[in-house]
Order: sequence, then structure tokens, then C-alpha cells
Amino acid sequence: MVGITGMGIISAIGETVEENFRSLKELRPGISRIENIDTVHEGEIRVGEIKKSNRELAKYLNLEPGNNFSRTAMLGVMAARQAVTHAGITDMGEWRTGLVSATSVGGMDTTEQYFREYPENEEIRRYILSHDPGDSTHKIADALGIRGFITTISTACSSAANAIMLGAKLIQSGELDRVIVGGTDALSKFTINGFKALMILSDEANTPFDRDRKGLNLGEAAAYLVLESEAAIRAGNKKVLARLSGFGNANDAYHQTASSENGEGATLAMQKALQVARLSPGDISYINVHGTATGNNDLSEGRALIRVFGDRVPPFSSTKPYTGHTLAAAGAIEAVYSLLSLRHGLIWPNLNFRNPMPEFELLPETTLQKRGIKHVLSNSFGFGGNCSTLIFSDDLY
Amino acid sequence: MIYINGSGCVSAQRSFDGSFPEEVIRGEGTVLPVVAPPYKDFISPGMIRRMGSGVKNGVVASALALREAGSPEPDAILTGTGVGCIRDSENFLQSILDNGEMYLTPTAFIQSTHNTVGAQIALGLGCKAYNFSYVNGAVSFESALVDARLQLLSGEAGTVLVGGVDEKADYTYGLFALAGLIRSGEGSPGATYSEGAAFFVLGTEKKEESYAVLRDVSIHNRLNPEEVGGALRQFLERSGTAPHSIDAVVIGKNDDSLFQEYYPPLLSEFSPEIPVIQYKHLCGEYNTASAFGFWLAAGILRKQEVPEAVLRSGKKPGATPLKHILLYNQYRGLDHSFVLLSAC
Repeated sequence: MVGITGMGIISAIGETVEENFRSLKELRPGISRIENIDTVHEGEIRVGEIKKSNRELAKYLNLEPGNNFSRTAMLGVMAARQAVTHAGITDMGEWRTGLVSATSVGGMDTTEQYFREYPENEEIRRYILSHDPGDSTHKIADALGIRGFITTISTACSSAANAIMLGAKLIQSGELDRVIVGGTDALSKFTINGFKALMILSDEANTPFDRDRKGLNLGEAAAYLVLESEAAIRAGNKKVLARLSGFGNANDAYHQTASSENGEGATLAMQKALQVARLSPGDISYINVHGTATGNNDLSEGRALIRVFGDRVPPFSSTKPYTGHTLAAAGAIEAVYSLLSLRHGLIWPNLNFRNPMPEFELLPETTLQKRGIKHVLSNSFGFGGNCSTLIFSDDLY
Repeated sequence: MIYINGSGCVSAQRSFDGSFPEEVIRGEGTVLPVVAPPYKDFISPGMIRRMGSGVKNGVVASALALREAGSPEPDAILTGTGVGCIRDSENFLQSILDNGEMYLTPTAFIQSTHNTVGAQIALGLGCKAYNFSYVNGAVSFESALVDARLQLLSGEAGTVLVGGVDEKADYTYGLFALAGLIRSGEGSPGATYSEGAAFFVLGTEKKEESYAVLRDVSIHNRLNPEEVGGALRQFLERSGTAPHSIDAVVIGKNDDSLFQEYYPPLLSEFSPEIPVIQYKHLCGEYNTASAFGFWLAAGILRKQEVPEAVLRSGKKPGATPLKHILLYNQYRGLDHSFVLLSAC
């Protein structure tokens, strides 16, 4: 079974794993007013923004003047570097190492700034090439010194979960020995206005699984895990943080953006993941739900939970009140939170919850709880009916 | 073994109905227009109006591939798309900028996500199976092939629908010309561009109409010209194929004056006698143009014929059958791929 030996993250609640862990424990959300993007909606929306400007990020990364890093690429490099350091990797060439990264908007944050200016201003044209989603992945690979298999997955909000899934398959099949997997997405006017036009942005802090939920808060983040084969783990005498024991992807095939009423795709994804992990529903100790706090997602996901777990739905919570919905990165962010949950025996509270939904009797966990945790199931669902589930398990399992 | 059991291709050639390669269109200009298939035979009128060409061409190419393979229900739908649904993406961004972020409707945003093509194919088929979209420049299609191969070899899937699709958008292609990707006139750097879609049904079962066997795929983010030969030998070794048993080479060379230094070291690994096949002068450059090359190579193996229009050097094969074809592609020095196809 694929082992996880390193993780890295940057989000609205911290720029390292340690900082994210502290914010989760201390119930400190990262939802705020937007500062880095000039948008007419600034007074009405709330976001999970990383409070570092592009200039500060570039300085932190020691980027040369004249570089064409998008914010998405910079966040990606920051998180992926942490993961590689955490895994104790010093020689990339030692094993066949790949990178599978996820993004939805790629370099949209720079595209939308310069789009109209490109024809006149030659100086900024270098950013035309950083719009491409693969560009951020190339930059991360170059920063880490990875040569070989790299690819990018974009399946909207399930992208990073799918990147983790592909990484696991590449290792299980013997194609690669080590894969750095995860995702990165920066806030952009494009997504703010897209979700605004869909009328699923809340003007308050998001409240997943609440009767009165008003929609999501967008966030930005990047997170990566290092997956390694048994051989690489043994040879390096590596400490395994956890195992990726199960994964499943299914399509709702219902609507381009909305989830089906009965949570068909989500149900199939969870069932597949349990089957791959050879676990029964009763084995799951905690579920990190997708829980975006939109009317549609939480209802559909809740129904899927009942279909899979019956009247014994394990303790569950959405961590999106902490980070906002970080789109393509969400699956990786929540993978890191699932691993922290496993390692520390903690269940993260579903912040902002007040009233149960009338459609069912599901109650998310609202306080920080300490208990033994063996298997964490994490859901990520995206536009295009894309539904993904990952299961992380204790190394001793 | 993995068999190619069906294919469909929409391109700057009349490829959707098999008129190509007998009928070859010599396109002019810096962006070759696609020969449109009869969309109304495949797609509802509402969707024809609403959808970008990527979705439409992807839906048609996948429908053709599935039909040819006897309409199996795929266990996975894998789509490679470099630029994704760039037309809707560009439209939504234009309206944000034009209207100062006000009075926006969500349709273009909804259709702008990179997985729209794969999602629309799944919706049309009512297919709830695994559905991934790969968006890594010139290896977007090959990434989907890698995933397909993993699933078919592990037994996770028996039938996979896999394809590559890219579309053009006027303003974005203008920016591509500014950035030197698209040729802007005589003597300027950049390639002749286009758009297109090619989809394939891959299965573990050999059919009477199977085109070829997909033996192996590999991708490399970066290779120096001097590393290409070594990477090729390593790739062939994985499937136990000797370089001298390769009967034809299909290269993704385009008409850009730059980034061509990777092909000579590749070709020097083979006898100058074997056919070297090129296709981008016919389908143009786009991130998933290599899927057109894959479609071409599969057809060559099935028909055992190398069309004149794609033969760049070497001899046309005579009486000895074509057994193994190697495909190599790269784009601007990045995203190199090797694919090995064999006759059934």
C-alpha cells in the first residue's frame, strides 16, 4: 500500500503544516475581506485569502526579476518544497520520481490583470505563457528538480483528490517509485465572478451543513503530499505518516454544475474507495466532507452519506469554514487535514454550524474532539459531476 | 494487451468520415480551419449553439469512436486538453472586463472548466464511470493514455474512452501569436496552428476491426536534444523492443523555425530507410495534435499503408508488413512523449 512520507501546505490559516495544525486546534478560521485583488465585490464577499502579496511571495521564493510566475505557481512551489523537505528527500534522481499537480484556473490571476494590455505592452507578454495550467506544474517540477513524469489534472473542485489518486496508481503499478501529488489554486476575479454569477457565494462566513447556509467562500491554497513505494520507504528507512488505503472516482452524469438530488456520484465514489481499501463503512472513524455550504452540495452529499453509512454516519465535519473553498487545491488541503487528524487523534470542528438541515438528521461535529482515529475518509466533488473519495489510514493498519 | 478498437477524429482534414488520407486539404494561413462534421447528427441544436468547438468536436469524435467499437459502455473516460474550453473562458473574462464585474450570466463560466468536454461526454452517455481530464500542454493526451494503460493492465477497466481535444479562441490565439507560439507571417517564429479532437476506444479484448495494439507510453517534462536518444532506448527496452525492429517513426515536427533540434538525434537512432511520417502540416499545431498523430499511426497499422501526404523520408514499406510504429512528440522543448504501437 502506498505510503505518505511528507506533506506541505500554504492556506489562509497558515503557511506551514505546523501553522495550519495550530489554527485548526485553536478554532481560528482564515476567512476575511479580500485585500490582494481589486474587485467591485470586495465589500460583500468573504474569502480564505493568503495575506501575502505576489511581490512578497516572489521575494520569499527568491525569484529573478523578469520571471513569469503566476500566484498559482508560487503557492504551488511553496507547498511542494515543504512536502519534499518533510519527506527528507535530498536526491530527486535517486528514485523514479514524478509530479502530479492539480489546478483549475492556472495563471488566471495574471491573465485577468494583463489581458487587454498584452497587445501594447511587450514587457508583460511573458505572462501569456503562464496562463496554461501545465505551466504551474512545470515550474514546480523545475523548482524541485524533477525530470520525468509530470502531468496536471483539472477536474474542477475534485482535481487534487484525483492527482493523489493517479499518484497512487503510478506507484502501485510500478511505473514510479515516488510521486509528489497535490494541487494549487490562487484567488482570481474570474472565479469570484463565476461563483457570484452562479449565486452560490455567501456574504458571510460559510456554514456547511447548516439549515440556513448561504453558499461558499472562495479560498486560495496549495498542498502537496509525497507518496512512496514500499521499496523506497524500506530502503530509505522512512517514517510513514499514513497510508493512502482507498480511492474512488465516479461521475454523477446529472448536470454540468449541480449535484444530483440523491448524491449518486458521491455515493459511488465513497463505495469504490471503501472497496479499494477493503474496509466496511463501520471502519471509518472520521469523514472530512466536501461540505462547501452551498444548498445543493450539502444536501446531495448528506444524502450520499446516508446511502453509504445508513443510520451510522461517522463523525464528520467540513473544514471549509477555516480555509474557504480552495477549488482544485481543496482535495490536497483536506488530505493534509485528514493526515493531521489521523496522527493526532483529533476531529476538526465544523465551525459556524447552528441549525440542522430539515431534510435529514445529520449533525456535523462542532467541537474539537480527541479520540482514536484509524481511517479518515475525505470527499471532493467538482463541476462536471466529478466525485472523488480518498481514504487515509493509520500506518499500523 | 491493449487494443485500439475504435477511433474518431475531427481535424483540419476531412478525417471524421474517412475521406482523409485519400483526400488531402492543403490549408493556408496561420490557423487552419477545422473541417466541420455534421454536428446536428450527434448533438442537439441547443447545444450546438451554446457549446464551444472543443465540446462539439469532442462529443462527435467520441461518438464516432464508440460507434466503431460497437457502442461499449466505457469503464473510464479520459480526456486530454491543453487549453481546455478556452473560448468560454475568454468570453467570461471579456464580459468581466467589459462590464466591470457586473450583470454577468454564469453560462460561459460553467462551460469554461477544463473538464467540460469529459463531463459533457459522460452526460450524453449517462456514464457514471471514472472521469479524468489532463491539462499538461503537449502531453495532455499522452497523460490520458498513461492512465488508460494503468487501468486496462491492472484490470480495473476493460474498456476505456480516451482522447485529446483542443479548441481555438480568437483573442487567445492572437495572444499566442504575440508570444511567438503561432506563426504571424513569413519568416516569423511560431507554428501554423489549428484545433481538433481525436478519441479512441481502448480495450483488453481483440476485435476483428481492432486497429493496433498500444504497447507503451512515456512522458518527460524536459529532455535535452542529447538526451533524446537515451530516453528512446530506455523506452523501447521497457517493452523489449529493439530499435531496429521499429518499422516507421511518426514525429510531431511542426513548421516553427525554433525548437526542432530534438528530431535529428531521435531519427539518427533508426535506419534512414524506414519511413519517417509527419502530420502537423496537415492538422496544424495544438496541444493535443499528437492525438491526430496517434489516429494516423493506428490507421497506418490497420491498413498497412503509408499515405503519400505524410511520408517525409525513407521508403514506403514494400511487401514486409509494418509491425511496430514509434511516435515521438515535443512542444517547444517541453513535454516530450514516446508511444509504441504494434500491429494486431
